[in-house]
Amino acid sequence: MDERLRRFLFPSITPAFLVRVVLVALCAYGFFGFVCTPFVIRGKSMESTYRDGGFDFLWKPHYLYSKPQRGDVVAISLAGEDVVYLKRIVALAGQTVAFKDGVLVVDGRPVAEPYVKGPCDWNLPPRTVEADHVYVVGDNRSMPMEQHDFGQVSLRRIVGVPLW
Amino acid sequence: MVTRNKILAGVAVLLAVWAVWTFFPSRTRQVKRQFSSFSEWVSKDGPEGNLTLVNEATKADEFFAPQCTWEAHGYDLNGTVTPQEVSRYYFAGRARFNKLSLKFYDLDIRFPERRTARVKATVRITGTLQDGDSVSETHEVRCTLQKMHGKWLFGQVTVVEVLKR
Repeated sequence: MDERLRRFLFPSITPAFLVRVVLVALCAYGFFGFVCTPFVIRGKSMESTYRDGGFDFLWKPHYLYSKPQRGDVVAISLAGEDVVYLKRIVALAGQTVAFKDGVLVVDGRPVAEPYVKGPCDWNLPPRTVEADHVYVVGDNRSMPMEQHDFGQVSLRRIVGVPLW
Repeated sequence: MVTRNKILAGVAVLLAVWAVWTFFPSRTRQVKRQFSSFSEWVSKDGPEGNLTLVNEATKADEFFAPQCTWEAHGYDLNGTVTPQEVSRYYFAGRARFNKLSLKFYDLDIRFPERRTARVKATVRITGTLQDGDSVSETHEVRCTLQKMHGKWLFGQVTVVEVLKR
């Protein structure tokens, strides 16, 4: 075996090597624990954009220097990091949101949503999004409205965005 | 000898820090402990005997003020209740569950007055009913606790929907 390859695969356990291992482990723990957290999608509320069982990373610094916009897919913390919802922002604070025969209506105007696949027959009377809140809905509108968790949520619950 | 004395002094300092930490917790830690105890009081791992249930139900006054105001519109739990009434709810509600877990997350604790704590938290309830159906709910709760007889007791509990349609 080539000497360099042998040293790479079976390095000598020197103090410098141990320091490097600890530093890499700490950086990985910090990055994947607090900055870019891996997660598995459970549930069908964001289909067909995000499939049930799919794997992704939660990019937390996304809104450090910008504010959530309409159309963004965001991760919403419901209970710490144990329960996090993926939803799409369809209206911002102060806007009026409604569903009429399956069509999203914001401030009285119908909104085209190319990411929504399948039929939708939702009807929801208009309501105004409160200050410091956004209105979020999943992309899967084929499921009955009663079974779909959506609504306005406080901005402080947005913990990041999926990386892809 | 000097080294031995230094080690003993170090151990004594560590013990003192531990004792202060354990026996004189800050107000924030006291409130956190109360939430943790409340979680344990409500949660159950499996079937339990009636005697245990009755015994546990009588502990409501360790968590609730003599008059506690509830606002939980989704549960028909509104108005002012006494610890005795909470005990009855506890007994009836808990008997419906085979397994029950209640956990608090993201506790935001403020002290507007010396003996009053305002807490905003997320509560997650999961469990299995006696008929086998699963329950999984998440709500935001806003609580006011008052310090009475050395304990932080719930005086007001408001349940807020996290996703409000």
